[in-house]
This record gives sequence, structure tokens and C-alpha cells, in this order.
Amino acid sequence: MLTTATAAENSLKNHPNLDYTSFVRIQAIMNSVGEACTDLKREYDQCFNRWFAEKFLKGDRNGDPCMETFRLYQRCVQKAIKEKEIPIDGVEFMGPNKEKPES
Amino acid sequence: MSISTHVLTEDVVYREVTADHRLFSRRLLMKTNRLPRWAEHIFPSGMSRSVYIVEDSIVDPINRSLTTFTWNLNHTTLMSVEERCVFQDSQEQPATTQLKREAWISSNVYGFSRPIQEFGLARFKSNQVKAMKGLEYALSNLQGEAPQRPLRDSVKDASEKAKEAAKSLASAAAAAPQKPQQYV
Repeated sequence: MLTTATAAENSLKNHPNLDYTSFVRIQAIMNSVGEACTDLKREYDQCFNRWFAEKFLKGDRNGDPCMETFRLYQRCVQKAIKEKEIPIDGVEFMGPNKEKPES
Repeated sequence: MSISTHVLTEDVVYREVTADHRLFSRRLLMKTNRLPRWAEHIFPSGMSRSVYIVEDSIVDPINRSLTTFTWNLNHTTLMSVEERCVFQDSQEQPATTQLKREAWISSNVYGFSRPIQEFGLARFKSNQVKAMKGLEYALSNLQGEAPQRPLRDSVKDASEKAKEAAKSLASAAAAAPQKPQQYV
């Protein structure tokens, strides 16, 4: 468990009365691997966090308000990943997990 | 506020809401690489101090579960660590969350794979305490008070099952050098 913010997001499900501001208090403020991308990342994260807490977890399936900010952020970060030659490509989602037995 | 001071960068590189309303995400994380003193002497100082880690996650708000699968992209010869976490409602204690955490640790350094794996395993186990404290801290901030029930830890040692699994995987594994894996 590298960050506990993800786990805390999950615990929101047990507290339907908590609102977005409580949620924001515990978010870690992180930088992007691409130095130039940090501002775009933070903008996307803000949009996503709001959508996640207020829509997604409450079962609202109406579209994705963050598509545009995600696109801008991705354009920047994927370029940084290529430039730094980070070997992230080619692994299927949850790929290595498929080989792991249930314990 | 960053709970883990060793995580330097975090990026979402893929995200999708599936037809069955699950959220799939992939994150790329970069951490500093903290080697113990004895390992620092063995490995060249030119070796990159950064570790790149991928975390795939599935949030299922309908079935109320969060599954993450995490592994390192580089330094894999030195040590490869894969970790799976499953958060779900606890059956045994209603209104609480259960976390099942598993790790697979291997090393392919000639002559040192065993002690490196032991080190990795020991660090994983001791990190559980830190990770639990971090989680308690985050939850107490979220709820505005100390958690009503302390986080309980029951470590299941699957050593017998692991030995069998390791044997069959070792025989299925390709190529020459012996690469025993250790499971928790």
C-alpha cells in the first residue's frame, strides 16, 4: 500500500453524509513525473476527486466531466514518460495479477 | 500532506469506467530507493536511486470492493515485489472494512537471491505496521476523531501452501539460474 489516500477513498462508502470538502482534506499533494505536467495533473485530480466522491460513488453514471482536462494532462505526461524512457508499456491491465493464485 | 515521504511523484496514466460501473485505473509512482547499508556496498553507486512502480486498481462501488495490484518496473533483478490488496466489507465484523494484503518477492542476483528475498519479506512485514498506522491516521482525519476500533491485524502464514506453489512455479519457470520465490 503505497499511499493510504486510495484506501481512505474506499471508506467514504460507509459514510454517505460526508461531502467533498471532507474528502479533499486527506488527499496527498503529489507532483507529476513530468515537471511541466504538475499543474495539469492537479487540475485533473481536482476534477476527478469531485466527480469520484459526488457522482461515481453515488451511482451517478452520467458522463465524464473530466475528459478534456484528462486529455491535456495525458498528452503532457505520456510525453514525459517517453522522454524519461520509463518502461511502462506493454503490460496488460492487472496483467501480472492474472498469474497469481488466490490464497 | 504526504503520508509516505518516499513517494516522489504520482501520475494517473490510464482510467476507464467500465460498462458494469467499475473504475479501472493505472498509476505510475516514483519512489526513492532506500537500500540498507550492506546492500549499498554491493551495488554500484551509479544505479538509479529511483524506483518506478505501477499500481493497477479496480474500484467496484456496487460490490463494495477495492482491489489494487502493484509492482516495480525497474530494479527487478535486485528485487521484484508484487503486491495485491483487496479491501471489502468484513463479514466477521459488520460495518468495518477488511484488507487482505499479499506480496510476492523474488530476486535474481547471482548468489544473493535468498538473503535479498528474506530482506524483502522482512521489510514487507514490518511495513505493514507503518502502513496500518498511515491508514489509521488518514481515517481519523476523515472521520474527525480517533478510530472507534483499532485496526486489527491477523497475519496468516501460508508457508505450507507457499512451498507447494513455489515448487510448481519453479519447475514451470524458464531458463537456467535457480530463482526461488517466496510468498507471504
